[in-house]
Amino acid sequence: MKKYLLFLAVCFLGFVIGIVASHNRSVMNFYARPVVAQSKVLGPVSLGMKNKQDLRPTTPVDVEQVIEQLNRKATDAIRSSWVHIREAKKFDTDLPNNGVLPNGVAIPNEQSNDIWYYVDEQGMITKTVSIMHDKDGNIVQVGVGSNGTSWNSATDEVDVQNYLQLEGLDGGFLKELMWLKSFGSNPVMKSVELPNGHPGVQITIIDKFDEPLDGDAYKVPAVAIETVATFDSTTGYLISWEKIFYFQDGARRIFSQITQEVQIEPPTEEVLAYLSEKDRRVER
Amino acid sequence: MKTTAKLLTMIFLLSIFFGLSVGSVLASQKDWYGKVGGVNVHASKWVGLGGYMWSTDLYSGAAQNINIIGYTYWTIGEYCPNTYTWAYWKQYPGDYKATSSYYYTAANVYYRGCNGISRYWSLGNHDFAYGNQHIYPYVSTYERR
Repeated sequence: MKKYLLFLAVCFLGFVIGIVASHNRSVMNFYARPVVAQSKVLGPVSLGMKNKQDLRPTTPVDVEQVIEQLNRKATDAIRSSWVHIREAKKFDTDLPNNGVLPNGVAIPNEQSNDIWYYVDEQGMITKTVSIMHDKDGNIVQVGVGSNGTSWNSATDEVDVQNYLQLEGLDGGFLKELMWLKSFGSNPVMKSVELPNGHPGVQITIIDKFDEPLDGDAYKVPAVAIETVATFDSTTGYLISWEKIFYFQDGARRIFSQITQEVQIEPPTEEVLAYLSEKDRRVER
Repeated sequence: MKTTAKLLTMIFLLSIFFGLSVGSVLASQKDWYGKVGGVNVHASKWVGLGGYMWSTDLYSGAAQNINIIGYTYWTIGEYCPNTYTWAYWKQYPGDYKATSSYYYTAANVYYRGCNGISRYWSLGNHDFAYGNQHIYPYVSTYERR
Protein backbone atom coordinates (compact mmCIF):
# COMPACT_ATOMS: atom_id res chain seq x y z
CA MET A 1 0.00 0.00 0.00
CA LYS A 2 2.84 2.37 0.93
CA LYS A 3 4.61 1.62 -2.36
CA TYR A 4 1.36 2.26 -4.27
CA LEU A 5 0.92 5.65 -2.60
CA LEU A 6 4.55 6.49 -3.30
CA PHE A 7 4.12 5.67 -7.00
CA LEU A 8 0.98 7.83 -7.14
CA ALA A 9 2.75 10.74 -5.46
CA VAL A 10 5.67 10.53 -7.89
CA CYS A 11 3.26 10.41 -10.84
CA PHE A 12 1.37 13.44 -9.63
CA LEU A 13 4.51 15.44 -8.92
CA GLY A 14 5.95 14.68 -12.34
CA PHE A 15 2.70 15.59 -14.06
CA VAL A 16 2.42 18.92 -12.23
CA ILE A 17 6.04 19.79 -13.08
CA GLY A 18 5.28 19.02 -16.71
CA ILE A 19 2.16 21.18 -16.81
CA VAL A 20 3.87 24.12 -15.08
CA ALA A 21 6.93 23.90 -17.34
CA SER A 22 4.81 23.93 -20.50
CA HIS A 23 2.94 27.02 -19.34
CA ASN A 24 5.93 28.86 -17.92
CA ARG A 25 6.63 31.16 -20.83
CA SER A 26 9.00 33.34 -18.83
CA VAL A 27 11.47 30.43 -18.73
CA MET A 28 11.63 30.55 -22.51
CA ASN A 29 11.89 34.33 -22.71
CA PHE A 30 15.31 35.90 -22.97
CA TYR A 31 13.96 39.16 -21.58
CA ALA A 32 11.15 39.83 -19.16
CA ARG A 33 7.81 40.48 -20.86
CA PRO A 34 5.43 43.04 -19.41
CA VAL A 35 3.81 40.92 -16.69
CA VAL A 36 0.61 42.95 -16.42
CA ALA A 37 -0.21 42.68 -20.10
CA GLN A 38 0.71 39.00 -20.12
CA SER A 39 -1.56 38.21 -17.20
CA LYS A 40 -4.43 39.95 -18.98
CA VAL A 41 -4.05 37.55 -21.88
CA LEU A 42 -3.21 34.46 -19.87
CA GLY A 43 -5.77 34.95 -17.13
CA PRO A 44 -8.99 33.02 -16.85
CA VAL A 45 -10.90 35.74 -18.70
CA SER A 46 -9.32 34.87 -22.01
CA LEU A 47 -8.10 31.35 -21.61
CA GLY A 48 -10.87 29.54 -19.89
CA MET A 49 -13.93 29.83 -17.79
CA LYS A 50 -15.25 28.90 -14.44
CA ASN A 51 -18.32 26.84 -15.02
CA LYS A 52 -21.31 27.33 -12.77
CA GLN A 53 -23.27 24.11 -12.44
CA ASP A 54 -26.28 23.90 -14.72
CA LEU A 55 -29.19 23.23 -12.33
CA ARG A 56 -31.39 21.53 -14.90
CA PRO A 57 -31.46 17.73 -14.60
CA THR A 58 -28.97 16.04 -16.88
CA THR A 59 -30.10 13.08 -18.91
CA PRO A 60 -28.30 9.87 -18.00
CA VAL A 61 -27.09 9.56 -21.58
CA ASP A 62 -23.58 9.88 -22.91
CA VAL A 63 -24.13 12.79 -25.31
CA GLU A 64 -20.80 12.22 -27.04
CA GLN A 65 -21.78 8.61 -27.80
CA VAL A 66 -25.11 9.73 -29.26
CA ILE A 67 -23.41 12.25 -31.58
CA GLU A 68 -20.86 9.62 -32.60
CA GLN A 69 -23.71 7.26 -33.49
CA LEU A 70 -25.44 10.01 -35.48
CA ASN A 71 -22.19 10.75 -37.30
CA ARG A 72 -21.75 7.08 -38.20
CA LYS A 73 -25.33 6.92 -39.44
CA ALA A 74 -24.73 10.02 -41.55
CA THR A 75 -21.51 8.83 -43.17
CA ASP A 76 -21.32 5.01 -43.21
CA ALA A 77 -23.08 4.68 -46.55
CA ILE A 78 -21.19 7.53 -48.25
CA ARG A 79 -18.56 5.78 -50.36
CA SER A 80 -17.27 6.56 -53.84
CA SER A 81 -19.56 9.55 -54.09
CA TRP A 82 -19.81 13.29 -53.73
CA VAL A 83 -21.53 14.90 -50.77
CA HIS A 84 -22.73 18.50 -50.91
CA ILE A 85 -23.16 20.48 -47.68
CA ARG A 86 -25.00 23.77 -48.00
CA GLU A 87 -24.25 25.80 -44.90
CA ALA A 88 -25.87 29.15 -44.08
CA LYS A 89 -23.91 31.07 -41.44
CA LYS A 90 -24.89 34.31 -39.75
CA PHE A 91 -23.04 36.38 -37.12
CA ASP A 92 -24.57 39.15 -35.03
CA THR A 93 -21.67 41.11 -33.51
CA ASP A 94 -20.48 44.68 -33.09
CA LEU A 95 -18.07 44.16 -35.99
CA PRO A 96 -18.85 44.88 -39.67
CA ASN A 97 -17.34 41.53 -40.75
CA ASN A 98 -14.97 38.73 -39.74
CA GLY A 99 -11.94 40.45 -41.17
CA VAL A 100 -10.75 41.43 -44.64
CA LEU A 101 -8.82 38.88 -46.70
CA PRO A 102 -5.61 39.78 -48.56
CA ASN A 103 -7.53 40.23 -51.81
CA GLY A 104 -9.54 43.02 -50.16
CA VAL A 105 -12.74 40.98 -49.79
CA ALA A 106 -14.37 40.91 -46.36
CA ILE A 107 -15.42 37.66 -44.67
CA PRO A 108 -19.06 38.61 -44.24
CA ASN A 109 -21.30 38.29 -41.22
CA GLU A 110 -23.87 36.62 -43.45
CA GLN A 111 -22.40 33.92 -45.61
CA SER A 112 -23.39 30.75 -47.41
CA ASN A 113 -20.85 27.98 -47.86
CA ASP A 114 -21.18 25.27 -50.50
CA ILE A 115 -18.88 22.50 -49.37
CA TRP A 116 -18.28 19.57 -51.72
CA TYR A 117 -16.41 16.47 -50.61
CA TYR A 118 -15.57 13.45 -52.74
CA VAL A 119 -15.43 10.40 -50.45
CA ASP A 120 -13.57 7.35 -51.67
CA GLU A 121 -14.11 3.62 -50.99
CA GLN A 122 -12.31 3.85 -47.63
CA GLY A 123 -14.33 6.87 -46.45
CA MET A 124 -11.43 9.28 -47.06
CA ILE A 125 -12.07 12.75 -48.46
CA THR A 126 -9.90 12.88 -51.57
CA LYS A 127 -11.34 16.01 -53.19
CA THR A 128 -12.71 19.18 -51.61
CA VAL A 129 -14.19 22.33 -53.07
CA SER A 130 -15.61 24.93 -50.69
CA ILE A 131 -17.19 28.11 -52.04
CA MET A 132 -18.07 30.96 -49.68
CA HIS A 133 -20.63 33.52 -50.91
CA ASP A 134 -21.86 36.71 -49.29
CA LYS A 135 -25.59 37.38 -48.95
CA ASP A 136 -25.69 38.93 -52.42
CA GLY A 137 -24.22 35.81 -54.01
CA ASN A 138 -20.74 37.26 -54.60
CA ILE A 139 -17.87 34.84 -54.13
CA VAL A 140 -15.75 35.65 -51.07
CA GLN A 141 -13.24 32.82 -51.26
CA VAL A 142 -12.82 29.32 -52.64
CA GLY A 143 -10.83 26.52 -51.02
CA VAL A 144 -9.81 23.51 -53.12
CA GLY A 145 -7.93 20.32 -52.27
CA SER A 146 -7.06 17.38 -54.55
CA ASN A 147 -4.12 15.43 -55.97
CA GLY A 148 -1.96 16.16 -52.92
CA THR A 149 -2.23 19.95 -53.07
CA SER A 150 -4.59 22.69 -51.96
CA TRP A 151 -5.31 26.31 -52.91
CA ASN A 152 -7.20 29.27 -51.50
CA SER A 153 -8.43 31.89 -53.95
CA ALA A 154 -8.23 34.84 -51.53
CA THR A 155 -4.63 34.34 -50.44
CA ASP A 156 -3.67 32.60 -53.74
CA GLU A 157 -1.51 30.25 -51.68
CA VAL A 158 -0.78 26.68 -52.68
CA ASP A 159 -0.18 24.18 -49.91
CA VAL A 160 -0.45 20.46 -49.20
CA GLN A 161 -3.74 18.61 -49.17
CA ASN A 162 -5.02 17.27 -45.85
CA TYR A 163 -6.21 13.68 -46.12
CA LEU A 164 -9.07 13.34 -43.68
CA GLN A 165 -11.73 10.75 -42.98
CA LEU A 166 -15.35 11.82 -43.36
CA GLU A 167 -16.27 11.26 -39.73
CA GLY A 168 -19.57 13.06 -39.60
CA LEU A 169 -21.87 15.65 -41.07
CA ASP A 170 -22.12 17.55 -37.81
CA GLY A 171 -20.50 20.82 -38.89
CA GLY A 172 -17.68 20.14 -36.41
CA PHE A 173 -20.06 19.96 -33.42
CA LEU A 174 -18.72 16.75 -31.84
CA LYS A 175 -15.25 18.22 -31.76
CA GLU A 176 -16.65 21.40 -30.17
CA LEU A 177 -18.62 19.37 -27.62
CA MET A 178 -15.52 17.43 -26.56
CA TRP A 179 -13.54 20.67 -26.40
CA LEU A 180 -16.07 22.36 -24.11
CA LYS A 181 -16.36 19.25 -21.94
CA SER A 182 -12.60 19.40 -21.40
CA PHE A 183 -13.21 22.82 -19.79
CA GLY A 184 -15.94 21.44 -17.55
CA SER A 185 -19.08 22.09 -19.63
CA ASN A 186 -22.11 19.86 -19.09
CA PRO A 187 -24.21 19.12 -22.20
CA VAL A 188 -27.90 18.35 -21.80
CA MET A 189 -29.81 16.42 -24.46
CA LYS A 190 -33.52 16.13 -25.22
CA SER A 191 -35.66 14.63 -27.95
CA VAL A 192 -37.43 17.01 -30.34
CA GLU A 193 -39.68 16.75 -33.37
CA LEU A 194 -38.34 18.47 -36.46
CA PRO A 195 -40.37 20.53 -38.96
CA ASN A 196 -39.87 17.75 -41.53
CA GLY A 197 -41.57 15.30 -39.17
CA HIS A 198 -38.37 13.42 -38.35
CA PRO A 199 -37.39 12.78 -34.75
CA GLY A 200 -34.40 14.81 -33.63
CA VAL A 201 -32.15 15.46 -30.70
CA GLN A 202 -31.19 18.83 -29.32
CA ILE A 203 -28.06 19.38 -27.25
CA THR A 204 -27.74 22.42 -25.02
CA ILE A 205 -24.67 23.65 -23.18
CA ILE A 206 -24.84 26.64 -20.86
CA ASP A 207 -21.65 28.14 -19.48
CA LYS A 208 -21.73 31.00 -16.98
CA PHE A 209 -18.55 32.89 -16.19
CA ASP A 210 -17.41 34.29 -12.85
CA GLU A 211 -15.04 36.49 -14.83
CA PRO A 212 -16.89 37.92 -17.88
CA LEU A 213 -15.37 37.04 -21.25
CA ASP A 214 -13.91 40.04 -23.05
CA GLY A 215 -13.38 39.20 -26.72
CA ASP A 216 -13.24 40.99 -30.03
CA ALA A 217 -16.86 40.66 -31.16
CA TYR A 218 -18.66 42.83 -28.60
CA LYS A 219 -18.00 46.14 -26.85
CA VAL A 220 -19.16 44.62 -23.55
CA PRO A 221 -18.02 41.38 -21.91
CA ALA A 222 -20.21 38.28 -21.94
CA VAL A 223 -21.38 36.68 -18.68
CA ALA A 224 -22.72 33.45 -20.20
CA ILE A 225 -22.81 31.53 -23.49
CA GLU A 226 -25.50 29.07 -24.52
CA THR A 227 -24.85 26.55 -27.30
CA VAL A 228 -27.82 24.79 -28.93
CA ALA A 229 -27.33 22.14 -31.63
CA THR A 230 -30.09 20.14 -33.31
CA PHE A 231 -29.64 16.89 -35.21
CA ASP A 232 -31.96 14.87 -37.44
CA SER A 233 -32.04 11.38 -35.86
CA THR A 234 -33.22 9.78 -39.12
CA THR A 235 -30.33 11.02 -41.26
CA GLY A 236 -27.74 11.81 -38.58
CA TYR A 237 -27.17 15.28 -40.04
CA LEU A 238 -26.66 18.45 -38.05
CA ILE A 239 -29.65 20.72 -38.79
CA SER A 240 -28.77 23.86 -36.85
CA TRP A 241 -26.26 25.20 -34.34
CA GLU A 242 -26.48 28.47 -32.42
CA LYS A 243 -24.18 30.23 -29.97
CA ILE A 244 -26.04 32.77 -27.83
CA PHE A 245 -24.20 35.34 -25.73
CA TYR A 246 -25.62 36.89 -22.55
CA PHE A 247 -24.41 40.20 -21.14
CA GLN A 248 -24.40 41.91 -17.74
CA ASP A 249 -27.24 44.25 -18.67
CA GLY A 250 -29.47 41.29 -19.49
CA ALA A 251 -29.05 41.64 -23.26
CA ARG A 252 -28.92 38.51 -25.38
CA ARG A 253 -27.39 38.21 -28.86
CA ILE A 254 -27.00 35.31 -31.22
CA PHE A 255 -23.26 35.36 -31.89
CA SER A 256 -23.47 32.70 -34.61
CA GLN A 257 -26.26 30.75 -36.26
CA ILE A 258 -25.59 27.86 -38.64
CA THR A 259 -28.12 25.88 -40.61
CA GLN A 260 -27.12 22.99 -42.79
CA GLU A 261 -28.57 20.89 -45.62
CA VAL A 262 -26.87 17.82 -47.00
CA GLN A 263 -27.30 16.19 -50.41
CA ILE A 264 -25.56 13.24 -52.00
CA GLU A 265 -25.29 14.49 -55.56
CA PRO A 266 -22.78 14.84 -58.40
CA PRO A 267 -20.67 18.00 -58.55
CA THR A 268 -21.65 21.01 -60.63
CA GLU A 269 -19.58 22.29 -63.57
CA GLU A 270 -18.42 25.12 -61.31
CA VAL A 271 -16.96 22.63 -58.80
CA LEU A 272 -15.14 20.72 -61.53
CA ALA A 273 -13.82 24.00 -62.93
CA TYR A 274 -12.35 24.96 -59.56
CA LEU A 275 -10.59 21.60 -59.31
CA SER A 276 -8.97 22.28 -62.70
CA GLU A 277 -8.14 25.86 -61.71
CA LYS A 278 -6.33 24.64 -58.59
CA ASP A 279 -4.19 22.25 -60.64
CA ARG A 280 -3.30 25.12 -63.01
CA ARG A 281 -2.23 27.28 -60.05
CA VAL A 282 -0.09 24.46 -58.70
CA GLU A 283 1.66 24.02 -62.02
CA ARG A 284 2.53 27.73 -62.24
CA MET B 1 15.24 -1.63 -3.98
CA LYS B 2 17.28 -0.77 -7.08
CA THR B 3 14.42 -1.95 -9.26
CA THR B 4 11.95 0.16 -7.28
CA ALA B 5 14.17 3.24 -7.64
CA LYS B 6 14.50 2.68 -11.40
CA LEU B 7 10.76 2.20 -11.72
CA LEU B 8 10.07 5.35 -9.72
CA THR B 9 12.46 7.36 -11.88
CA MET B 10 10.86 6.08 -15.06
CA ILE B 11 7.35 6.86 -13.83
CA PHE B 12 8.49 10.33 -12.72
CA LEU B 13 10.00 11.14 -16.12
CA LEU B 14 7.00 9.75 -18.01
CA SER B 15 4.69 11.85 -15.85
CA ILE B 16 6.66 15.01 -16.64
CA PHE B 17 6.47 14.19 -20.33
CA PHE B 18 2.74 13.58 -20.08
CA GLY B 19 2.26 16.84 -18.18
CA LEU B 20 4.29 18.73 -20.77
CA SER B 21 2.24 17.35 -23.63
CA VAL B 22 -1.10 18.00 -21.91
CA GLY B 23 -0.08 21.50 -20.85
CA SER B 24 1.29 22.43 -24.23
CA VAL B 25 -1.80 21.33 -26.21
CA LEU B 26 -3.51 24.61 -25.36
CA ALA B 27 -0.72 27.00 -26.42
CA SER B 28 2.21 27.40 -28.74
CA GLN B 29 5.00 29.94 -28.94
CA LYS B 30 7.70 30.73 -31.48
CA ASP B 31 10.84 32.72 -30.61
CA TRP B 32 13.57 34.33 -32.69
CA TYR B 33 16.82 35.74 -31.28
CA GLY B 34 19.26 38.01 -33.05
CA LYS B 35 21.19 41.25 -32.93
CA VAL B 36 20.64 44.72 -34.30
CA GLY B 37 23.45 47.28 -34.15
CA GLY B 38 25.23 44.97 -31.71
CA VAL B 39 22.26 44.77 -29.32
CA ASN B 40 20.59 41.43 -28.53
CA VAL B 41 16.93 41.33 -29.58
CA HIS B 42 14.09 38.85 -29.25
CA ALA B 43 10.94 38.43 -31.37
CA SER B 44 8.13 36.18 -30.20
CA LYS B 45 4.57 35.18 -31.00
CA TRP B 46 2.19 33.14 -28.89
CA VAL B 47 -1.22 31.51 -29.44
CA GLY B 48 -3.37 30.10 -26.63
CA LEU B 49 -6.77 28.38 -26.86
CA GLY B 50 -9.56 28.86 -24.34
CA GLY B 51 -13.05 27.44 -24.12
CA TYR B 52 -14.74 29.99 -26.38
CA MET B 53 -11.93 32.18 -27.61
CA TRP B 54 -8.31 32.15 -28.59
CA SER B 55 -5.67 34.61 -27.49
CA THR B 56 -2.51 35.66 -29.25
CA ASP B 57 0.27 38.08 -28.58
CA LEU B 58 3.29 39.65 -30.19
CA TYR B 59 6.43 40.65 -28.34
CA SER B 60 9.55 42.45 -29.55
CA GLY B 61 12.26 42.89 -26.91
CA ALA B 62 15.80 44.24 -26.69
CA ALA B 63 18.57 44.13 -24.11
CA GLN B 64 18.52 47.93 -23.95
CA ASN B 65 16.59 50.85 -25.42
CA ILE B 66 16.86 50.89 -29.22
CA ASN B 67 15.68 53.40 -31.81
CA ILE B 68 12.70 51.45 -33.16
CA ILE B 69 11.04 48.38 -31.70
CA GLY B 70 7.72 46.92 -32.83
CA TYR B 71 6.34 45.17 -35.90
CA THR B 72 5.75 46.01 -39.55
CA TYR B 73 2.69 43.80 -39.95
CA TRP B 74 0.80 41.26 -37.84
CA THR B 75 -1.77 38.86 -39.24
CA ILE B 76 -3.98 36.62 -37.14
CA GLY B 77 -6.48 34.17 -38.55
CA GLU B 78 -8.68 31.12 -38.02
CA TYR B 79 -8.04 28.64 -40.83
CA CYS B 80 -10.23 25.66 -41.71
CA PRO B 81 -8.01 22.80 -43.00
CA ASN B 82 -11.06 20.69 -44.00
CA THR B 83 -12.25 23.29 -46.51
CA TYR B 84 -9.02 25.28 -47.12
CA THR B 85 -10.83 28.51 -46.24
CA TRP B 86 -10.45 31.25 -43.66
CA ALA B 87 -13.18 31.79 -41.05
CA TYR B 88 -11.43 34.88 -39.66
CA TRP B 89 -8.59 37.06 -40.85
CA LYS B 90 -7.22 40.28 -39.45
CA GLN B 91 -4.13 42.15 -40.47
CA TYR B 92 -2.89 44.88 -38.16
CA PRO B 93 -0.92 47.75 -39.70
CA GLY B 94 2.59 48.21 -38.38
CA ASP B 95 3.33 49.91 -35.07
CA TYR B 96 6.40 50.64 -33.01
CA LYS B 97 7.83 52.44 -30.01
CA ALA B 98 10.77 54.79 -30.31
CA THR B 99 13.66 54.60 -27.83
CA SER B 100 12.33 51.62 -25.94
CA SER B 101 13.39 48.10 -25.00
CA TYR B 102 10.12 46.33 -25.70
CA TYR B 103 6.88 46.35 -27.64
CA TYR B 104 3.90 44.18 -26.72
CA THR B 105 0.38 43.76 -28.03
CA ALA B 106 -2.31 41.08 -27.75
CA ALA B 107 -5.75 40.08 -29.05
CA ASN B 108 -8.63 37.93 -27.78
CA VAL B 109 -10.81 36.53 -30.58
CA TYR B 110 -13.99 34.48 -30.27
CA TYR B 111 -13.97 31.26 -32.33
CA ARG B 112 -15.80 31.77 -35.63
CA GLY B 113 -15.91 28.02 -36.33
CA CYS B 114 -14.95 25.61 -39.09
CA ASN B 115 -16.77 22.63 -40.60
CA GLY B 116 -14.20 20.42 -38.89
CA ILE B 117 -10.83 21.15 -37.30
CA SER B 118 -9.46 24.69 -36.93
CA ARG B 119 -6.00 26.24 -36.91
CA TYR B 120 -5.28 29.57 -35.25
CA TRP B 121 -2.42 31.49 -36.84
CA SER B 122 -0.30 34.41 -35.69
CA LEU B 123 2.37 35.63 -38.12
CA GLY B 124 4.25 38.65 -39.38
CA ASN B 125 7.44 40.69 -39.33
CA HIS B 126 8.89 42.29 -36.22
CA ASP B 127 10.75 45.59 -36.46
CA PHE B 128 14.09 46.46 -34.83
CA ALA B 129 16.37 49.42 -35.57
CA TYR B 130 19.52 50.57 -33.80
CA GLY B 131 22.53 52.48 -35.05
CA ASN B 132 22.60 52.11 -38.82
CA GLN B 133 20.98 48.68 -38.81
CA HIS B 134 17.30 47.87 -39.35
CA ILE B 135 15.97 44.28 -39.35
CA TYR B 136 12.53 42.69 -39.87
CA PRO B 137 12.57 39.08 -38.64
CA TYR B 138 9.54 36.95 -39.59
CA VAL B 139 7.96 34.81 -36.86
CA SER B 140 4.87 32.64 -37.13
CA THR B 141 3.12 30.12 -34.93
CA TYR B 142 -0.22 28.38 -34.75
CA GLU B 143 -2.29 26.19 -32.50
CA ARG B 144 -5.02 23.75 -33.49
CA ARG B 145 -8.04 22.05 -32.08
